[in-house]
Amino acid sequence: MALTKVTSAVLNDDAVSYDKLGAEFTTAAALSASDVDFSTAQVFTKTLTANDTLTFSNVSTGMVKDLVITGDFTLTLPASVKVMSGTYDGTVSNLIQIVATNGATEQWASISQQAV
Amino acid sequence: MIAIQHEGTIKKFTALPKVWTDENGTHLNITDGASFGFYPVVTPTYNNATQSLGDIAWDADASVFTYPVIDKVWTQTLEEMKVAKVAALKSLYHAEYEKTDWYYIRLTATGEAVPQGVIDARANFKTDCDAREAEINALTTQTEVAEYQLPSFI
Repeated sequence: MALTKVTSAVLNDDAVSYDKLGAEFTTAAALSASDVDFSTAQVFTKTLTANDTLTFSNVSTGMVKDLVITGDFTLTLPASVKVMSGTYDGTVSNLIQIVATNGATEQWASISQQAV
Repeated sequence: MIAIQHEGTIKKFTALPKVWTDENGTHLNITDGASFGFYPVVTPTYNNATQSLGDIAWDADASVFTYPVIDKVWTQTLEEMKVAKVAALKSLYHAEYEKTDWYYIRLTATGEAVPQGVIDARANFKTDCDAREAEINALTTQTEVAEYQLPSFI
């Protein structure tokens, strides 16, 4: 008989450890192209060498992703991204945290840098 | 000051915005404003006594946002403008007179003389005011009256 739900007999409460999480929650990936595939990693890094436009794919509501971006160039995020705080500083490393509040339709971003 | 034409209106900024969203995306760290449609705002020189500025508009030839200079349309006749200008002139001199009126109040109350310097200054005010009033009344166009500079005592 096929399992249709996960019971405590199969998986105890509080039993999902970090090791059991998928790569999309636990890995960092360097962006070589311009697409940020939300299903592939938790953290995305990129050093801009020219003005760059990022696109998002496989975005689902509730996803939270981190972009670590450096480079003193203009960075363009999808128009669905609303910046709620912070500004990009091209002279230092920037943490841009993206929260998908309505799938691919709307994401909110906060931008921050290391305190000095 | 810079501006951009966006969604049918011209939006002005004191500097390039740190974040700008348009149909192409949300742009961060814009350094080349022109490539996103940001251009300088140029305020033309104009005579604010006789001209005013219209609504900001795009000047494609100069690649700037600027304002058209519009000649003022006078609602008063020449004589009405002269009367108003003379009234403003006298108001200024009246205020200057008031600064030394207390010497005359003191003279009445105590008999202490008004300093000669004050007497001379008030006499000069009267002479100057009369001369300026004559100048205003001799003006022949509304533009001349509008441009006539009243004295400043600051």
